[in-house]
Amino acid sequence: MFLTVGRRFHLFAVALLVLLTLLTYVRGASNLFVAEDFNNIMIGRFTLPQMLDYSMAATRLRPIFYAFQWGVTHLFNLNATGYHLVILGLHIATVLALYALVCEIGGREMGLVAAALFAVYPRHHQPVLWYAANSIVMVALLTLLAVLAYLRWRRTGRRAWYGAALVAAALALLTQEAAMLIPALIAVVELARLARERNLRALRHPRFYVALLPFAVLIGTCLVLNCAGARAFKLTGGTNLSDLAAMGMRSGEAYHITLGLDTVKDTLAYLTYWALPVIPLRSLDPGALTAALALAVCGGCWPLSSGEAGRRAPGCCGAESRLCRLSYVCPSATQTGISIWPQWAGR
Amino acid sequence: MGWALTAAALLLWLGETAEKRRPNAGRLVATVGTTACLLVFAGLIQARIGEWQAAGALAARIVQEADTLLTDVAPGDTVVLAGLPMTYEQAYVLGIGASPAVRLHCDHWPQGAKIYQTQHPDVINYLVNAAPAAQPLPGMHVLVYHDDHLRECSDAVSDLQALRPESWY
Repeated sequence: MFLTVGRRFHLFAVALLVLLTLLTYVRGASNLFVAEDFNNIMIGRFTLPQMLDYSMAATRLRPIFYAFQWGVTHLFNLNATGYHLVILGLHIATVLALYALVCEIGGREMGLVAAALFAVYPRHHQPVLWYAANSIVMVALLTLLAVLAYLRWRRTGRRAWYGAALVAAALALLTQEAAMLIPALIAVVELARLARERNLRALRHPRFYVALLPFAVLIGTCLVLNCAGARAFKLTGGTNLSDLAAMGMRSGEAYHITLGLDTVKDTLAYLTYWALPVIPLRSLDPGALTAALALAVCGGCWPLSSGEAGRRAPGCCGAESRLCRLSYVCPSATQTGISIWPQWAGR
Repeated sequence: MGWALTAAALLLWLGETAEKRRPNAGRLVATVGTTACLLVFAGLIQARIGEWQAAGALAARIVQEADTLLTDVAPGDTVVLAGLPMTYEQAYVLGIGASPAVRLHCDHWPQGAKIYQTQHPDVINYLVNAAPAAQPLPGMHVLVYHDDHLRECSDAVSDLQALRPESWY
């Protein structure tokens, strides 16, 4: 009675999405540990200084991810159900964040359908059912929150939202390097918003780009830390390197002097997710060639997806234009899509 | 996410198209289409959940077998696990987690005892067909996964090179 129609719809949508996700995945809560789950539990059993040493000296800079693992391990020890419920909770939060984002850019019906399909999309079984892959879910959630906060800042003009977007982006970057797509994603979502408002002239204003600059600086900093981190952060907490290596965590690699090429390679591979809807990635390698091809396709399709040209294109109606735009917003929107990668590339 | 959003846009577009041809049909088309997709997806997920459960059970069984076979590991010994299953359908089994899995299962793992794995086919072939050696390598514990079970072959290894140490991880 006290709720508007819009709020009632949102409540219904949230309840439906939570229920749908829970019912679909709850059977997985009884899964046992597999593969790198054991490695992560070992890391979680470190003392806090050891864990910080490990996370800062690892080849890939993911201190937030390791800190989260550490906390969860201390909470649940060897109770696998607890771990799986945590990751299920993160997945539900990601679904709701996606619903909120798509509501902003595509309307509430689109938000509900997209979030529902995303919630039970079968290719997501790895990050949702395998605890060791939860960095994918974490970075997806933080990325969506960053974009949502940015959009809220655009709408309200309150600087606190911009600050929240930056904080979420920083946390995402320190969770997994896939978050390097955040500025590009924000730009695409902004383009979709401006095209819908028929206000593409705003692109000529420097303010549009200046707002993205701090995100670029964050990414640059993370890249430098990723590239130089293995050397810059020497172990200080008394962690025994040979012990770590003997644990079979491949941590020995983390202490080699490298140029951080893994990070660059990963970033290029992540870029390919932009083009998932249009490129048959199954036949391609996850290397720079794939990334270049994906970027080329994205670049070629950009005029179609950015509104004005899309509307001018012969035979391209509004729905098709929206479809085209969304198909490019989406894959980068959350790196949960990355779960697709190992199966496509490795099997 | 890309597929989910694209599919959502497509379903709603189908609804819009149906609405144009027959008033009031759009919502029905979109709802039925979405529900059908959700049911199929949820069914496929149930199959995947079954695979992860089977993979977890397999991993637990292998770790239990390893624990039973590795009762006499002394400090400084080396354990080599060969041919462990990596995947079960679309789920992972032990992967690079075998070493910490064995350590976690064992309450008091001997100080300095190391665990390595290898998937080298020559090593697996050698271990499966090897006969007991006259002078097995001391301090070396070798287990091979064969015929769905873990089997000890420590007494068959007299030459470290036969285990291809360069393939260990």
